[in-house]
Amino acid sequence: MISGNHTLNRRCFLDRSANGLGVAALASLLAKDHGVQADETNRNSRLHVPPKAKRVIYLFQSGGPSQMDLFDYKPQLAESYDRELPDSVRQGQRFTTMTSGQGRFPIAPSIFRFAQHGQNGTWLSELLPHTAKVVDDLCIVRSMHTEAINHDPAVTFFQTGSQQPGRPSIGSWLSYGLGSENENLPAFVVLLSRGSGRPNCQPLYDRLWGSGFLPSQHQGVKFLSNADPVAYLANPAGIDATLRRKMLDDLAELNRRKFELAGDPEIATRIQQYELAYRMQSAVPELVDFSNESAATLEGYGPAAQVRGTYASNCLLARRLVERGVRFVQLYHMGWDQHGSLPKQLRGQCLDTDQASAALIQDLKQRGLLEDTLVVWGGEFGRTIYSQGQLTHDNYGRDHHPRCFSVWMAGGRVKPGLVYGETDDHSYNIVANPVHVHDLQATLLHLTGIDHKKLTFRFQGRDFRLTDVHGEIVSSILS
Amino acid sequence: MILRTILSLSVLYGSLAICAEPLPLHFNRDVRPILSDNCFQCHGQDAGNRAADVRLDTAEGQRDKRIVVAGSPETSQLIERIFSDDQDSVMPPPDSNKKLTAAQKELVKRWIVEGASFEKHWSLTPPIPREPPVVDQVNATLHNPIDQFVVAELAARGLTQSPQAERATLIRRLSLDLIGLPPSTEEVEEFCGDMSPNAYEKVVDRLLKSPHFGERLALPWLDAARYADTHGYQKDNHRTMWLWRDWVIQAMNANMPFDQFTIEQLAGDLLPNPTQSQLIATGFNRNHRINAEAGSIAEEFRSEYVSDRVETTSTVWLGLTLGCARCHDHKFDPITQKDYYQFYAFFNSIDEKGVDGVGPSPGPQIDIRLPESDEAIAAENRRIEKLKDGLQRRVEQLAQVRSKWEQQLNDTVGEVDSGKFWLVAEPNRLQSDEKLKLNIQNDGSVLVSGDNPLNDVQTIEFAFDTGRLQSLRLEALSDSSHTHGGYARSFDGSFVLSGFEVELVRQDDKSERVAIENAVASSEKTDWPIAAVLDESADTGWSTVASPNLPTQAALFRLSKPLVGEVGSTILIRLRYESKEEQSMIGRFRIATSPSDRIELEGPATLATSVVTALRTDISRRTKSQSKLLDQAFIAHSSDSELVRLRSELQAAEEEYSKLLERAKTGVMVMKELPKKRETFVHTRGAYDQPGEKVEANTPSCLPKLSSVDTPNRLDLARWLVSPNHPLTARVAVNRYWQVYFGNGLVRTPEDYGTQGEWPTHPELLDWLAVEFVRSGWDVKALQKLIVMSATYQQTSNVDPQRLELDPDNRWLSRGARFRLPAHILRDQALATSGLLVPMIGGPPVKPFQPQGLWEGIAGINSNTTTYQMDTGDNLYRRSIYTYWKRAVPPPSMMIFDAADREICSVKRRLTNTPLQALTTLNDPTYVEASRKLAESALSTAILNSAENRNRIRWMVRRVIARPATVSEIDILEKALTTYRSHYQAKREDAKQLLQVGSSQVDASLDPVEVAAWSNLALLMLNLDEALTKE
Repeated sequence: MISGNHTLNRRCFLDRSANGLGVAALASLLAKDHGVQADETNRNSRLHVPPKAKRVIYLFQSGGPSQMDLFDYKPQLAESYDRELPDSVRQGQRFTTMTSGQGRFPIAPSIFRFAQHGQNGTWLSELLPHTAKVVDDLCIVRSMHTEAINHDPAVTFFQTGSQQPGRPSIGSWLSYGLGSENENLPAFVVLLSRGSGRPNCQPLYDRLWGSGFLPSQHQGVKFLSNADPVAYLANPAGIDATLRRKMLDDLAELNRRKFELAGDPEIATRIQQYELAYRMQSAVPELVDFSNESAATLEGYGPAAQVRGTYASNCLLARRLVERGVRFVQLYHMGWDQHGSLPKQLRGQCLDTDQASAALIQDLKQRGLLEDTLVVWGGEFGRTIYSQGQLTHDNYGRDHHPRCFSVWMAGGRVKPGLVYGETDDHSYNIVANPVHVHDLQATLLHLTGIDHKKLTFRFQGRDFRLTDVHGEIVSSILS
Repeated sequence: MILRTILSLSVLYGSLAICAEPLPLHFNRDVRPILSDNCFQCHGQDAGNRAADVRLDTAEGQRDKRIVVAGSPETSQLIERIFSDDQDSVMPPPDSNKKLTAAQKELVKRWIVEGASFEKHWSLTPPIPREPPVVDQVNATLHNPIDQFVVAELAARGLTQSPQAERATLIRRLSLDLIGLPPSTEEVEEFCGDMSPNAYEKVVDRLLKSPHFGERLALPWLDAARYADTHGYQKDNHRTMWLWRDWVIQAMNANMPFDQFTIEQLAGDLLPNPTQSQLIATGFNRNHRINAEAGSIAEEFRSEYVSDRVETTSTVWLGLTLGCARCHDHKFDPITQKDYYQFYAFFNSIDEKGVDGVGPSPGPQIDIRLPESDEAIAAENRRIEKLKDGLQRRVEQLAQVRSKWEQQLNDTVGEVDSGKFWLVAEPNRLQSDEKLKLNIQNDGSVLVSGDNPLNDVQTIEFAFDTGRLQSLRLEALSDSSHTHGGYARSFDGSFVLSGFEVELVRQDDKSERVAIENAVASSEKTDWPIAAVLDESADTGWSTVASPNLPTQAALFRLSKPLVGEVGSTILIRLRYESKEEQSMIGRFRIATSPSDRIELEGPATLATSVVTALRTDISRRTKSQSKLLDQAFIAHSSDSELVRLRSELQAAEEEYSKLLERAKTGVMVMKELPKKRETFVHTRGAYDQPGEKVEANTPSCLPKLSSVDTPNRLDLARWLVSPNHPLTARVAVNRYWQVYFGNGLVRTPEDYGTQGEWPTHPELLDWLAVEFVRSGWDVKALQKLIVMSATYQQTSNVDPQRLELDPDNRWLSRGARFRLPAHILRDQALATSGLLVPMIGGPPVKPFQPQGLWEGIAGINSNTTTYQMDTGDNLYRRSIYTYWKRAVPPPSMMIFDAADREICSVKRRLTNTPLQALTTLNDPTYVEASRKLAESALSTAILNSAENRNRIRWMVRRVIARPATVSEIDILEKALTTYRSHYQAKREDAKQLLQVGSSQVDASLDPVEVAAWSNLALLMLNLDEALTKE
């Protein structure tokens, strides 16, 4: 069983205090580099396979981006406009009750133009002009599939490997398995933005970055676009840093005395945690301050990057986070749920995300970070080829579709310039190289040096893991 | 020491660590965990997954095929395989990621040598009443049998009891444990000075009688019962289950026996003539999440709710992980998939819907009237009557003006076909398909209230006895009950009308659909023209831009040909709201008619039909009510300033009255059986739409039979759970209580008593407590008293290196428990010590401070919990158990301190120690404000006679951590104070700013510099490890 940092620190502490070091040991515990050392030993002992990615940025596109309007080009469907979806394609699949009552299921070919880009001539929608420029760095998987058909269970499934709540999220597993590389910042950070495509979008839930049954220090820390990026981070009005430092010193002194008397190692941990909190107070504001970013960098992400809380700003923040050793940065961009007015809404969503996603890849690459940072882009399911609601030549909607959808990955030694997997002519069923959600999770863990079958935690008498009892590493996309 | 150890061993389960001569192995304690961890997955209960037809979880299975030959390891297959060097034959197989250690292999071998005795899993056999062990009484403090069990176990491990904690520590510990609040300074002093032999017991008794006892003991129960104030899932709308929460608190306070507590919550509705309280109790199994996501398949989610009940009930009462058998037979425990669905059948016939999480209390539910608001309602009613009298008097004073007005109106009405006025239709029937409340207002409009479902179809019916009809007008009126004061309760206050139909129903009930020629609207949103309501598509429709500046939006429908009224005929108007825009029903509408085909949408007067009829009636022949009607019409139109004032006051009073009425009752979800039971099937691979074998309600086969009933129901199940010989219920319950006091249970896996769960640290004590609990008549308070009266509980929590080494996790209870306070109690402590706490018990949830933007950041906009509106006044300072619990975004200051998230049942406590916790208690305005109040108290002479700093410090330390400060601590704090003071002397502005944190009044008589300096000192004290920790 793997023990948390906190336990490890306690144990180190115990060893020392048992040797009669007492307060002296405590002082050394507080020495600046101690946490890092402990983490380092800790982490290496946990790795099951040589890691290719030290960090992960997951650009989650919440709501279910439409694969056939973005990545999964189906030119031959133009002829099938408004024709009924053949039963042979549908194969009795269940629909959500939003469309199950529809009289017919007319095929809605994408109205967007596609063109080939990059050295391998990858087809991409006109909505993704910036992504097109970095397409040689991406590995596009067109054959993702999932089990859930409604948002809540589907996002929960992607993030925790189970449709029911109560399991740890990917970031928590990584935090638990690998610990942090930065002693001033949490290992797992969550950044949120709303889409302009659909303002009344699908919601998110704090439990999506919860730690489930893992110790709660592994839960994702949600950064807010408030003045206070982390809840309760700033000193209260009227208490400045000098006074706070003084107060913390006095507090530590009293806690040390308490420790000598009570002997509870938890007190020593608490003293450490207060110091870490203090360091976070300066590390986080520095982190969200973009003033030292070059004009060229800022331009790359686009003007929205200057507005806190936007997807573009979050992408830049993600780079700054991984640069500082944060293990897992989870972005969520909401609004990809195009049941109606898809053409208009999808344009909005892509305007929000296309430039910044591409800029993030370029930025990471330029700094030599892409090699050991894995970037994942994708939503919880895909969308149907048939129109939800009325189909016209310039308007249609699409319902949820779990049987195939597209995601892309980059960096972390994923094969660049690859298009993996294939769907049928209707982008309805997968015909080659299916990748299940658990497969993607297993691959992600593998890239970070973890065998998804071995990273377990015992709860309710069972050894739980992210991939439940499933998951195959998709080795064909790994270099 | 050694002597004592050996002596006590004779009465104990053996201790392998200390014994020179090993005691016989116990299958359950020593061998089963090894087999369970490594072998049962393929050689256990789950037949579907069993390899080579070999099973090791039963005596028969072990004896079969010479797998285990008692006394003969050399011929036992098991030994051959686990010791094998051959990669192809060694067990567990190398690719299973499982491996036995050398010691484990030896242990299995030894067990076979010793005769390979088999035992049924310990928790499945009833606890046996036994005598507490005899222990050395000279060197131990023995208050009750708990201590005998604990001391015996300590002795076996070379440990001894720790001495009793200091009195101040003891009373703080007791108080935090029993009522979740710190003791007052007076209580501490009284106890410290009370030399009577039963001083401690007096405190215990006082605390057990406190009304806050129920609040404290309810906390872990609410976690187990997944209680929350929203429905969860994606919409996460508001729900009202707080009456159930209050029921729990009251039951705890009334010391309701645990068997009754069980029966009422699981099956109160099935008791003969259940009381209201017994019905509320059944809310326990309605606390699960409920989905309202558009497009969800109802049966899929209904089946989720039933499963949630199965898993919650089995965890809370049985401590078994029944959930593992949802898709296949349990891998480790003797629970089959059939067992799971037999248990499921108990909860499968509730009269509920699968997709229903919109309104505050989806059915089945009951409305409860709250008597406390009776007085306010009566007062408001009196105010309304007074205002009405005033209006009437003013109308009489204005007799002349009135008759002139009537004359003018009469002239207009005379030209009935002119298109000069719209006649407001007066519905005689209103219907909402989704059962919304539709109430006619004074102005003839219809106000929509109640639930806020995704879609609806509303039918308005009015009489059409005479006259002609060729034009219809539909008005959408803004209202304060709508989002942003717009036209609807949708996410942005706009509506989408997808269809508008008119039907003429003749007296003979023959109805015809009336054709509409065309339609115009006051405004149209792009893509949502008025014409779209006339097509048949549900996806298209009419919408306008919501703007509070425009009180109304209207649409005019011209019929293709005029209709002629006949006696007995009626007009039906159907408003369809069936688009994908959710909750976009017009929240207040009015329908008017005209016989003219030339009438304009806006401009003409609007009159109610009944007013027109009254006007046309000669004064001498008008009925009393007709005169009254005209009075009201006059009042509504008059511009007389006095009338206008009275009119608006009356309107406000009436609004307040209906709000009071609404608040005076609250719904609570309850259990209710369908008249005819649903059939239950095993779900193949757990899929709700893959029914397998049909099953009937029954209890798991590994447990005692549910006797004497042919078709058992929930009530039989509840009674079976609390039958005296049940092996699990009492053990599981006492263990959870134990956890409250010691941080861990005697079984450290309170969620799992199966073979994968931990073996109890003190099995005999656990059984003794369970037997005692049942024997006492399931007396909950007596059990709490028994635990806290023990010397074990009263030990000091200070630990020396030797104890730390021998008993690092305090498994053997060689000292008092020491752990950081649970989230709720931590905040309550800050409120209580500072004097901010408002100790009111029960009531609707409250919204104290939380950082801004948390709900707004991620909530779906068409939910009704999207913006966190912080309360004011007392609600900011209520106990944390009353804090509003939104499932999608639980209160951060609770989550940071390891609170359960209330999504699903949780019985295991977690304890972390993180930097975010430090930031919370240092910077959360709750703690900052509490520190300021503490400072103000310390500085107020009312509390202290001496103005001396050291006395004030002494007082403050006592207040926060109960014990007296040492001289050196006072030295440090005094020095600190001096620094803080000089800091603020140089920065007076900072001092003033600090005082502004929070909402409570600032004591203006005190020097801000002093208050600020002392506030920092108080904040320091609230952050002491000792303050954050129960010692």
